[in-house]
Amino acid sequence: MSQVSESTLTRKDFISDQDVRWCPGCGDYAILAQVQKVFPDLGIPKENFLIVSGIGCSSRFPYYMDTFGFHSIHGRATALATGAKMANPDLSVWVVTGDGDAMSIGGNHFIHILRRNLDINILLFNNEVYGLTKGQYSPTSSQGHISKSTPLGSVDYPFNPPQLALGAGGTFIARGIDRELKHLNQLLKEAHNHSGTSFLEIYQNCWVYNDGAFANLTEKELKMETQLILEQGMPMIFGKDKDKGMRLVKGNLEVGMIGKDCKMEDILVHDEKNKIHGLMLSELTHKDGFPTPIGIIYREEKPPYEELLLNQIQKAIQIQGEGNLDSLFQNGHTWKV
Amino acid sequence: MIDIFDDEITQMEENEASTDSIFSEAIQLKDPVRTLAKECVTRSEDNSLEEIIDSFQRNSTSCIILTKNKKVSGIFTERDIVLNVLGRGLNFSESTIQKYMTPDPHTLRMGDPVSFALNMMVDGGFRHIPLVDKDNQPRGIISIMDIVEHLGYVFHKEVMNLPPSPLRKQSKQEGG
Repeated sequence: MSQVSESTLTRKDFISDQDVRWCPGCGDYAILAQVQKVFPDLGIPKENFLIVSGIGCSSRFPYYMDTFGFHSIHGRATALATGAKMANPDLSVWVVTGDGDAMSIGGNHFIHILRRNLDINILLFNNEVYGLTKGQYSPTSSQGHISKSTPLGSVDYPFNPPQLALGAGGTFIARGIDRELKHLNQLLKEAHNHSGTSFLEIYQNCWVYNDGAFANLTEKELKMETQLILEQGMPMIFGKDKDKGMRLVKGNLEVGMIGKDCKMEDILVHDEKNKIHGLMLSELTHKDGFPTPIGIIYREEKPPYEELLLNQIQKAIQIQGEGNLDSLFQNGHTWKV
Repeated sequence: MIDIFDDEITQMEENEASTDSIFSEAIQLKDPVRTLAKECVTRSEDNSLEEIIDSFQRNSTSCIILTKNKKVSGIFTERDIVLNVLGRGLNFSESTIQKYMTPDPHTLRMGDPVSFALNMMVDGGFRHIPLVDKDNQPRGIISIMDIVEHLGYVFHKEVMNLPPSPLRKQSKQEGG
């Protein structure tokens, strides 16, 4: 992939001429701003960026970035992104999707792109509601969520996207929040740096149809008690006074009060490479009595799909030669009509 | 046709009618400064100008706290570089920072209210205030940027969730 110096491109180069038509105050604006700030720093020529989206409020995204983009069909952004990346592995491909687009209709394509591990970055804007269609519940809406389509409260058990991604074999799984801008900025860079499919779930507030869904994670009085900020190699500590931490008790994650029912040495140190830890941490999402982990939950290095496939093609060419499409069509039983 | 906008219009009206966040909800003026404080970069006041400027560059900081016998003795900011150092023909490696720092700066303790920090910034014109313990040893720093960032966080919807540029007029009927 060709490189450009970081100073050549600025945020302005990635702002398109389209009026941004999200609702005023939508969390998508903040995410858009961070992506526009991060892209110039990635050292990639502008023409090598491709943003692929599906359908939903999140999926307006490609219009607002001055890059190549593809506003595709519902749930299929990941499939189209797979094709684009295979056709041109030099592209920096970003999939922008939502909880409806990726977890509902797009669920199948979602698990396969993670399983295959193409070097593509998936940004899932999770607002726990179907926003564009005006407020129905989604596969990530909490149980009991009251919406246009669940006036008595949803009885559905919601998907846990990081947990689903882990189960599908994801090699980079992270979570950010639309209000934690510096943290989100850093996660976007880490997602880009990972060689393989990077899955970044971003909690995003839809103030029209699901306002305050993540208030317990973002209100200043609460967030220090409810956010577990994961940092590689650091103990999993949280709380306003940094007095709580995650520890293992009989194989289960529990919250310990440091200095009261446990010591600092008992607190688990975050290891991004530990898949069991990753599964246990992902389970904490919306779990009563536990903080919600944000940051990089799991990371694993393994060759991306396009590298393996292209190497295989090269080897086949070395052994069998380039091949000829016309002779392939003419081989075997053919007849003239 | 009009009713397809009802939900959005109703929600927007409800939000406008609800109590606006006011400054005192964003920052309780009695909140301790430690809630907004950051880590500080400290150096001995015996360092040369060259070493101090190198520290600015290595740490990407706008302010350095100078110490003598581990206690705060001065403060030196990027503004001091512009106003007191550049263009004066100084030998950076031979000049000590002690001559150019602001000695005995105003300080606060970690538990002091944010209102005092604001008072110093508004009344005194300070942009950075060192935070010390009872022995006058540095414990952190609070800057005007910390307060601005916090306001941006609290008023996220009104301040951070904005389009890239103001909508002065709709440039096209069709669009994304």
